[in-house]
Amino acid sequence: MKFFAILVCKILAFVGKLLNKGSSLPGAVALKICPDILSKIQLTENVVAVTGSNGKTSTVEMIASIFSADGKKVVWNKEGSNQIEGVTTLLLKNSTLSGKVKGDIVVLESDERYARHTFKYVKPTHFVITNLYRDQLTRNVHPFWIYNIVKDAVELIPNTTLLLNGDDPIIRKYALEQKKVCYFGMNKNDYSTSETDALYNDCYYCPVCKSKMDYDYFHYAHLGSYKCSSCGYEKPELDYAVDKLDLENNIMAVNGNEIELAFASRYNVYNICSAFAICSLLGVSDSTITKTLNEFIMKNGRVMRFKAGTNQGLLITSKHENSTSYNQSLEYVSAVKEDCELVIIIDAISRKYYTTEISWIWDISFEMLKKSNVKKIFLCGKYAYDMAVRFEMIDFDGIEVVVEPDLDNMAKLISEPTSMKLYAITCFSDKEKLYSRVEVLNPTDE
Amino acid sequence: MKNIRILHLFPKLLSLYGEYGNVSIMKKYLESNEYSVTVDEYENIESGIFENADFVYIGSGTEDNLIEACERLVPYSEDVKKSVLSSVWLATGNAMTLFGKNIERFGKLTTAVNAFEYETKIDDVKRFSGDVLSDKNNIFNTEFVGYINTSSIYNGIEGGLLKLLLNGKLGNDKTSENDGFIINNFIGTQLIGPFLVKNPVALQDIYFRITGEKLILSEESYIVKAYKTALSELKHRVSQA
Repeated sequence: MKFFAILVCKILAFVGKLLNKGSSLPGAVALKICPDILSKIQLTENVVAVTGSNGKTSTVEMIASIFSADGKKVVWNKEGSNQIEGVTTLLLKNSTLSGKVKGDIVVLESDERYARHTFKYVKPTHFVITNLYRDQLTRNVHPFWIYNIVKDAVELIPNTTLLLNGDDPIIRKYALEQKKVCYFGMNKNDYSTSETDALYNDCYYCPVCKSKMDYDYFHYAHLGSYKCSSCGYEKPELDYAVDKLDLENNIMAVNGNEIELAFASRYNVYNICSAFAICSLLGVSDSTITKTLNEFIMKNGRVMRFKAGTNQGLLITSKHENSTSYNQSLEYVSAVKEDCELVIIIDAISRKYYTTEISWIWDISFEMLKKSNVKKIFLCGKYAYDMAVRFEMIDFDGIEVVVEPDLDNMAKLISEPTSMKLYAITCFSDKEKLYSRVEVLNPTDE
Repeated sequence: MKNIRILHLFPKLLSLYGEYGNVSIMKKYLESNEYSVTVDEYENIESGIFENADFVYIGSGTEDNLIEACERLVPYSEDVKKSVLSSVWLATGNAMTLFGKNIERFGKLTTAVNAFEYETKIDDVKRFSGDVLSDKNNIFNTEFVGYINTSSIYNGIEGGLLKLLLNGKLGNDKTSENDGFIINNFIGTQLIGPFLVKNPVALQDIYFRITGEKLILSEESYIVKAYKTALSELKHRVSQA
């Protein structure tokens, strides 16, 4: 059955590629033919899995690039299919017919909710957990619910080395019962704050004993330097630390190794640090890692240039139902030095399922725009009125707020000539709705 | 100018889905009608805090935090029982869990506030979630919109605040379509997040209970337009079901 399952998967993957179809179906069919096919595959010496609420795809892209630059043949899920069917497609497609993976290293993006299924068969040698935030709560409930689900996965791999974000008190808990653990994170820097920038702190109380958690400083959300004075649970000593961060000059450093930032955001710094850490742990030289990261260009199209009429625009794709992702985008726009306009589009909550749930809008720190150079905000899409109600709670003195649910009307409004640069924030589910109404530019076009 | 005192219980411990919006929106409309509003937030309960409260609000939490909140609240059960007879209360999401007789979780029984005659079981494996739309009923002559996301199963609640048309099996006991309850001025609903923002009629109802005055909302206001958007979407879904 193994041979047959691999063969069918390869044929379906080939046909799917010709038809430009998704990457889950071949794996799903293979799993029907041979449900334990993954346990019959001979993996590479090292297998890296990456999970977390935000930044999985970017982190995996970076890790794969670094290993490639180090001369290794990397098997990784470029398409981002991170559930068990997608992982099955990836591994079988890249195996010999006898089931030996043809590569030097496997790097898997792993969905938080599906790692516990995948790890029954595929035991990673290294498991990177980047963060746990409020994300798609209609599916994921809350971060501690997901913590427990990932814990099921961690319990399946007691001999795996965990690479954990030490700044995240939720994730740090996995270390309490695992033998081999390394930490990455960020030292205190000019951007650290005494209060969180978020409207909530999921670790206001210690996740271990429920006493109030003390923070020396925050980086953002619930990430920072924490210590529970009651049970002693605290930020660990970091094995890989961001010890320099200069967003003005787009520079960061990990353990003293300077890296140029393509996108000046504190949020991506953690992804870069985790990629640095895992590659360093697996023997790639610091110089190869830094050189690759300096030249790395994101391929996921999350930041794209566009033109509306004669106005220059920049789209920053965020995740709907994820206030941390929105805060990241808002922080970027708030740091813009020149006067600018901002359009926020929420038209479909999700591209995967239907819901009208908008509570997450109330978790976004729109308040940070008060101190920005944004002069005009367009609230657009089906849920423009919901955003407008949220905006009524904020005193935006000096900022004009335009509410326009209709996207064709929005296109006309943002095309009206202005000397200000235009920024747009929306989700994967809605970005095509913007692109179809503006001129999308290549990253190098001005 | 009349003073209104809002009591927000556990704004950090029980705060999962933007629940603070319920307090913010009520404060905004009270102030816009010349009321002076004080919001007192309590993470730890103290004796006497319920006295003179016009409106008490409590929202959703993680399952662990619910139990923690229960332990903090139960020593003041008698104060709570007195308060629910005199003040307006709103419990959204899974906060209703705290006010029954007890809570069963992992086979262990925890005594709850015992203000009302029902029992709660927390299921840490199965989650009950989905968009909901309620029918008009004799309490509210309008539909309610929202989302349920809970692991609490309630047994012993007679009737309900709302009758769910969409995802009816998300009702209190997870077999019927009755959601929440209303006893005196205590309103409990499983609907999460800024419930009063999503449902202007609920905002008007509670505003009236607090002040004895009608809150007029324009059809052109964003809050009403947002509600109509959700209503239209959910009705469309019901018609397709």
